[in-house]
Amino acid sequence: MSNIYIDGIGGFDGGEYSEIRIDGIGKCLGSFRSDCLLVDGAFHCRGNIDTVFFECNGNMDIWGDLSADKMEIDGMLNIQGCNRLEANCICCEGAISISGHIMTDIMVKRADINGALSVRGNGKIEGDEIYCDGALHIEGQISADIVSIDGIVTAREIVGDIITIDSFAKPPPVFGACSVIGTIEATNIELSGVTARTVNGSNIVIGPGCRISSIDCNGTLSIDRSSIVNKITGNYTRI
Amino acid sequence: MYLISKKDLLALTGISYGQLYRWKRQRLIPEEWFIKRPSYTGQETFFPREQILSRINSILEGKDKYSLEQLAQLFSPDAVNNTISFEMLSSISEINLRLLPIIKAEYGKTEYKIFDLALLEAISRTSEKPGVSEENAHSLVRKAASLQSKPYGQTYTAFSAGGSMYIVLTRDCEQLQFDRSIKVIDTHSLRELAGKLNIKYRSFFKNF
Repeated sequence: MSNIYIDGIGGFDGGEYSEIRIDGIGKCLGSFRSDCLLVDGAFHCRGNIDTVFFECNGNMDIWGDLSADKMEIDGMLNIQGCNRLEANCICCEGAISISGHIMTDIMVKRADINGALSVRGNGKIEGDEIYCDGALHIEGQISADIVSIDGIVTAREIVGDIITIDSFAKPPPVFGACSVIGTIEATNIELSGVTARTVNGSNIVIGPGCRISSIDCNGTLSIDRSSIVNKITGNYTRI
Repeated sequence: MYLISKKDLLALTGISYGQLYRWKRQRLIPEEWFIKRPSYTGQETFFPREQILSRINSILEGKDKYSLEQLAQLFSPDAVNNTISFEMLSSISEINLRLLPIIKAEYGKTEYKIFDLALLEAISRTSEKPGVSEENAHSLVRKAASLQSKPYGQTYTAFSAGGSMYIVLTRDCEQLQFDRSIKVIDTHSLRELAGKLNIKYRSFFKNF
């Protein structure tokens, strides 16, 4: 298989390659498969991408689906018109923005979002483990065995086994910003600085600065004095 | 169709939120079974009672023998191409042995797909219901033979009208309403029956 290196300005139509390296400004007009995709400059792709390793330190726009074994995003990745983003491992120190008029499903084994991830539309993120040290915004659902967020998250629904959200772990980017979530459902839940409509779980710890409309707990429940909870139901033990 | 709330489901089966959502992600529980309805807390999730309880039982029974990926394969519509020979039908205890001659005559084939088996199991169960004669069961097999090429992600309902018995197949989660002159005799999720048959008789199937 051949390689593609773009140092100045160039483009290709798609196909199958071993390594694609964009150090200048590149454009691809179709779908491609590759073993390795490295973007240090700017790259625009109007097709689906299937690659084993994907690293973006520059700026990249994709109009299509993306599948990778490992993704490292240190720059800026914009995805539009994507039905599905699939990866074993996503490590984002930069920013990933998914927008467009169609619903995007993100399937991942493990995601480490230390920068920002924004998903517009009613899409969802599914994975085994999702860690976030920055900001995560999704208009749909996050579902994972472990969801651990030390930062700000907005989502319609977060469900899983262990959910920990600490909005006070980092200085908020805007004064007074906190995580806003519709429904949180998990076996074990620990929240700080979270506003949520419904929290359902077995073992729930409501830390400082939370505003929760309704809690349904069937295990142990602890609520910090500074938090406001309107309604509690279930067969729980207060600790 | 009877529904069960998520809260009641977890209490009844003893599974956790984590397990429920893991199984959903693994496609062991179809997304369309999560039915959202408005409630006083905003929104509540319900499930088709019979299907979800049967599926969770199957998962709990099978999870020590198979990995979750294997179980997902067994419940997947892709398993629809698994076939079994007519001679092996007699080894499937879920199929009424008395129906075998009529099955052979009406289906007239040597290989049976998992959909056929699920349908025949459903008819066998119906044949054991009070008031269902052997002739009624034979007539159901005759009618079922014309349905053999359909996918199995469906609900089977056997009903009687004007002294005869009929089968109707609907998509899972769809509710059937009959007038009073029609009596529903039996209903089963073919997907559930097929999943259980796949697990129990895995070694019998070709193409697996």
